[in-house]
Amino acid sequence: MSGGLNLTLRVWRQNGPGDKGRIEEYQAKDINPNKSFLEMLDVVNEGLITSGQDPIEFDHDCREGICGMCSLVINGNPHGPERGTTTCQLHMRSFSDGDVITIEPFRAGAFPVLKDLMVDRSAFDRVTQAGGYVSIRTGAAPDAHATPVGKENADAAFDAATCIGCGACVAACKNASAMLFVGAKVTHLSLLPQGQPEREERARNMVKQMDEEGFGNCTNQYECEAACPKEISRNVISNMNGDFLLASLRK
Amino acid sequence: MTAAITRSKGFINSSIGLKALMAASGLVYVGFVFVHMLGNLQIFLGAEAINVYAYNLHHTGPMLGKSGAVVWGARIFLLLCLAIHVFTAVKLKKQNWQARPQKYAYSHTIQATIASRYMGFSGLLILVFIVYHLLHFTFMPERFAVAYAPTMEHTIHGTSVAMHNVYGMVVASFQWAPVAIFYIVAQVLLALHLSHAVASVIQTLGFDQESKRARVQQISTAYALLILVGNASIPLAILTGLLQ
Ligand code: HEM
Ligand code: FES
Repeated sequence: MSGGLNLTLRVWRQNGPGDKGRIEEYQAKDINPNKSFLEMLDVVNEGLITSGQDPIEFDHDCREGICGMCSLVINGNPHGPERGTTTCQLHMRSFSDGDVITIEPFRAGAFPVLKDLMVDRSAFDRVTQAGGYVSIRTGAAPDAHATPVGKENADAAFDAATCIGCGACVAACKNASAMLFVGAKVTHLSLLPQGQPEREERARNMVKQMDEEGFGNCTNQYECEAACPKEISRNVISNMNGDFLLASLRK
Repeated sequence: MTAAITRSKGFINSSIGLKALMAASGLVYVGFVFVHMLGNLQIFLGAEAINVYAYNLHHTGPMLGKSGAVVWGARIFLLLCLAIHVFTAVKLKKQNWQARPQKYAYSHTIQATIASRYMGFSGLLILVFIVYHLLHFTFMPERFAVAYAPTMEHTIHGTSVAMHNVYGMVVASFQWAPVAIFYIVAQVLLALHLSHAVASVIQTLGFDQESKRARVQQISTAYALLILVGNASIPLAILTGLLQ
């Protein structure tokens, strides 16, 4: 394999939550362009470990674009420059030899840095716990068409449900707003019959928790939608706004 | 009653509640700037048209000092909306700054429009403009406007009435280039603000539909341009000597 990439990485290093942090430079040498971005970081970390240095800490799990664990802001883009792609699915062929790549953690007050590029995204779990569920009897799976759902609603609910909860929307928003995430959760349930009984309560409680976590407010710039690896539409924010406003008017 | 108060407090402390108040108060001004522009454009019909229009406007309803109750009511309502709009804008902005305590070293935007990125800036300059504009033409023309014949006689219902010479005031003021240019610049900023604002209202109040989105943005931009052309045409016409 010829044509390995030689890159300069400018990486955010931070020893722990209390540390001030700083950008440090590393050389990534002879990187196979077919490696994923995380594999490239693995190679750099191998080098750091063998030379007795602390490896760069970053989050990952499935490495196939479905779990939402990977993060990173790469040259100002959450999950890197490709649209609809998680960092784990980003390949080094998207970069050119000699590139300088700045790698930072997802930045938000509600996502405190734990170490280096790893942030605490448990605020999303608390928002979900505040209403991102339906209180129905579980048990055996019901028959597929036992509860009819219109095609448009089924599609839109499914699109919203593709959210993997990675937090790229927060990272991309200049206000660190979580409205695309919360909107996706609200929309996915509020479009289905099973989500109706708790619909208004859900919007109210999830928005309340979102605000308490210290996420910012949407200014309708839609950077979230552009950065979302699942390309979730800003429409979910409008839906959430509608549900929240109706809930506030009624009660 | 107390429950109602707690609820409205919760609403105005919530992100979406604040945004909705900002959108609603902004929407009032979206309507106002259009009506205001139509009124102003009567200047092209001549001194009598605009002077009589202003006279009638200020003599609707029981008189309270120099203006009628209808004008005072509108002023109070508009002032309230402006206060809500600015209050919510400041509060939301402050929260937004707090939400991202540490900035990115490498910052980048993908699809945010220029107008959307400068809403606070355009809004602030519009506020400065509004204050100056009110002092200039409404509350202290004798101090802020270029000297003009203060009254003019026009016939209303067969009787001759000496009324405020709005035409003379506007023409004299805009013959001085710095003022005319300041007004035109303010209109450009207003158009910038409006081009993002009108489309934003649809999203903020929960009416976004993907199939209508492009159309909504077109209408928003067209509306902004309409206000720009309509309002800026007045200082422009006076500056170029078309109106005198
Ligand atoms: C004639 C005057 C004005 C009109 C017609 C107007 C209209 C609007 C409207 C309709 C919105 C959209 C609200 C939304 O849905 O998000 C908006 C947003 C905004 N306005 Fe105004 N406004 C005016 C004056 C001002 C002033 C004086 C200020 C500030 C001092 C201001 C600051 C803002 C800000 C910061 C936003 C938020 C933009 C964002 O979400 O990024 N506006 N305006
Ligand atoms: S590691 Fe699971 S989505 Fe990237």
